[in-house]
Amino acid sequence: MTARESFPRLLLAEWTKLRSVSRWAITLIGAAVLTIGLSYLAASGNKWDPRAQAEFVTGPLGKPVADNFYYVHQQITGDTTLTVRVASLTPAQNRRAVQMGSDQMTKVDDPSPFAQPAAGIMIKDGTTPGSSYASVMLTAAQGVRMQWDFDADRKGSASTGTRWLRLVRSGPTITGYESADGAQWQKIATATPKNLPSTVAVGFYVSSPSAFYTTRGGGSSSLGEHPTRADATFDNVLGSGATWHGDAVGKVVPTGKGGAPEGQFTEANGTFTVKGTGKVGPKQPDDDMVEAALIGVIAGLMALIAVGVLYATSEYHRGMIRTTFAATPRRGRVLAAKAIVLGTTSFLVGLVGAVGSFVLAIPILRKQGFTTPAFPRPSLMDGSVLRALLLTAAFMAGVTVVGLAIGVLLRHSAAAITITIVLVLGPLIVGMILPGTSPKWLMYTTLAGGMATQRAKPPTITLAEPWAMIGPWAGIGVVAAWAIVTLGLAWWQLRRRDA
Amino acid sequence: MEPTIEVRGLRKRYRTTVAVDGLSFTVRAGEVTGFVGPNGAGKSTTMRLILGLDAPDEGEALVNGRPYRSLRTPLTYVGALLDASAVHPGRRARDHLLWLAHSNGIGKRRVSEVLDQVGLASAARRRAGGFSLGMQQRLGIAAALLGDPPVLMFDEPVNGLDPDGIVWIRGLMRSLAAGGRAVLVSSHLMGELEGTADHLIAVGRGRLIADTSVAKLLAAASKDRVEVTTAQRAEATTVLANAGATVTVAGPETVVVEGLRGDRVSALLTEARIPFSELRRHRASLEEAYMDLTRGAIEFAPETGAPAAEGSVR
Repeated sequence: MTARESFPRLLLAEWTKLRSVSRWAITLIGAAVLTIGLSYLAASGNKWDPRAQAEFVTGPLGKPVADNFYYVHQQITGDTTLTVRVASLTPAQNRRAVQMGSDQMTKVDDPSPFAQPAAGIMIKDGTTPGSSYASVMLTAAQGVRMQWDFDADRKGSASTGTRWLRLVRSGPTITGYESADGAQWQKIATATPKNLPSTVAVGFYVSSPSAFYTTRGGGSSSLGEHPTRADATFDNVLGSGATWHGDAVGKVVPTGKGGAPEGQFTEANGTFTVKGTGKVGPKQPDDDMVEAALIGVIAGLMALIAVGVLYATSEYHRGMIRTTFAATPRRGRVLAAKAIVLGTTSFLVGLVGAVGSFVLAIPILRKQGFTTPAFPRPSLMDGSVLRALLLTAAFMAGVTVVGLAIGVLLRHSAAAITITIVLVLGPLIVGMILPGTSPKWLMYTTLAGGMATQRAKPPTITLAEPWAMIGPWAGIGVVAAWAIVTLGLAWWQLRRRDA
Repeated sequence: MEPTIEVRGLRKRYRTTVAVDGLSFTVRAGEVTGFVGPNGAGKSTTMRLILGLDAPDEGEALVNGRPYRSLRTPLTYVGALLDASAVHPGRRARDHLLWLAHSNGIGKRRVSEVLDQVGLASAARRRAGGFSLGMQQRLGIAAALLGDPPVLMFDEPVNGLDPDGIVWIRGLMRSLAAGGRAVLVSSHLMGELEGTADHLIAVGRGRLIADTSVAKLLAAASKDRVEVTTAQRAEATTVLANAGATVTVAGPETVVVEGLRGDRVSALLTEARIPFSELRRHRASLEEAYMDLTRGAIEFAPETGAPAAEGSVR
């Protein structure tokens, strides 16, 4: 007889074990069905306030954007050059925290270069909010920048003081320059905005994004918006000489008490004083449609944990582990084969569940208010959606493997299932209740952090769910670390203990 | 190289109990070796140590000259039946053998062969949870035979088998040994090995009590004993006792005479005109021989307090 041992054959042996117990096979299929079913049901119970849509417009790239600023402009047809000196920029001072009722609200820091008070010059496809543009600007804290179409951002010098700025339009392209003295010019970048008709608005502007304050804990979160205003002076305006018009582009942000930070401009001896408010840049609601479509994952995960644990502990019922180790004395290889077979299977089950949830729940969510402009239709082919679905499946696989390892360590099904589930759900519940950003460390250290894989959007501290505070890669990293550590302990135990 | 199991100075302690205490023996090819001892004598522990499942505190166990844990396809070297119930109840008989075959790179065809060999072909697609004790035992034996190994170990294989099954497994063990394989079979009942074992390894309290061939053991136990069947039992006893023999009553008309040869017994009885219908050499049963052998060497009183080191209860 020719018998040869190889790791692929050991994988086949472990796969045979997993598939041949029909109760496990049914539970694995059930995990996918449960994930999809619960996601579908939960989607129809989810609602997004249609009034909040007023804060968003759709940008030239189809994404939700904010387009609010004070624009002093004139219409120019064809190629043109605009040069301006920004003499001064005075941003509003924002408090770090505000008291709202009994809640202490902390400021949400947004390091994005689009979230800076700015004074600059802009060439734009008219004054309709969301239209194409390119601009160079002096920001309050991030130097000189060139931006276009609410998406692209190029860094210029780090200057914060007086600065000369220039935009040159040549056909479909716009090139931005800056200078300290109006004589020596440095190029920043060349932009090709998506829609640039022959007649465009050309001028200078001031923007000042609202300050956001948030409080969370006790299972809920709230976000407060405080509009701000920046003042700037422009001189040496070298344009066509036509009349300048002042317009507040976009919806004026509703003002708080103490008077409106309305935009306006005055001119005296060629010096323009402009007061502006609002933000020009990407603006997404923190709510994540992909995450909302994957609510069932947690239910499917429970079923997967049960299979993962039983796949280990069943070996210890009636001493089956002796048959296993008599057939393969190298115990580490058995554990590795088990982890790979179980991990791969649960990854595929998780992927079917996640993709199925996405496909079924997204159309429901669109009927529930998750529509444009705030929520463009997410596609399976979007990088961030694909990442969320794949990492969610990996999260489910990772937790299932942790269940396997804990099963090997404890050799007791009920205890191992309970502990694994508590490791996921416990920190979620505690994290919901804990105030502010304090649950962050829980997310960075426990399996609950893996829930962050479900988000297609960047981390935020403004939501009730604590896993939104960390990024998806950090989330999957935590789960991977848990899998490696628990498997390592299980391996050590297997080698040390008698079978 | 001849297939063998060698055990040298094996010692294993579980907490306060010494389960195996300096055991050494060799199981040779072409023989069925009985491994006997009362429950808790360390038989199952020894088998687990041979299979590398438990690590010995001292000594070593070698299969074909190598430690079991160094074998890459161990099922093709040693087939073992430890605990027949060690099968997932939800798994079909065929799938149980299939994963074992995969793990050692044994072909699928062999699975059908061993199922036929143990008479489970018709139950191949049934779940092991619904098996009777006897069917489980057959499945366990099928697993042991899977790799067609030259060395086989069976721990209490007769348990739960019906009379047909017992005859079958004895025949199987004899034929395996006849085919040149080394067969180690444990039992706590000596009688079960009658007519099957060629060699005996007797253990008690983890120590070796005897390592002997069955033929020699029986000869030693039967030596100088003559069985006489006579209607005049009392008279015969007197005559033979006067001649210096030890006479014990073995039945209503039977006595066993120790200390006199057969021809001398015949002469004495003829001389005294005591009629006897039968006179033959007494053949000790294996059970008897074993009792002779172990008398005083082990305490048979069931242990209380100290946990038994039997595999099935752990």
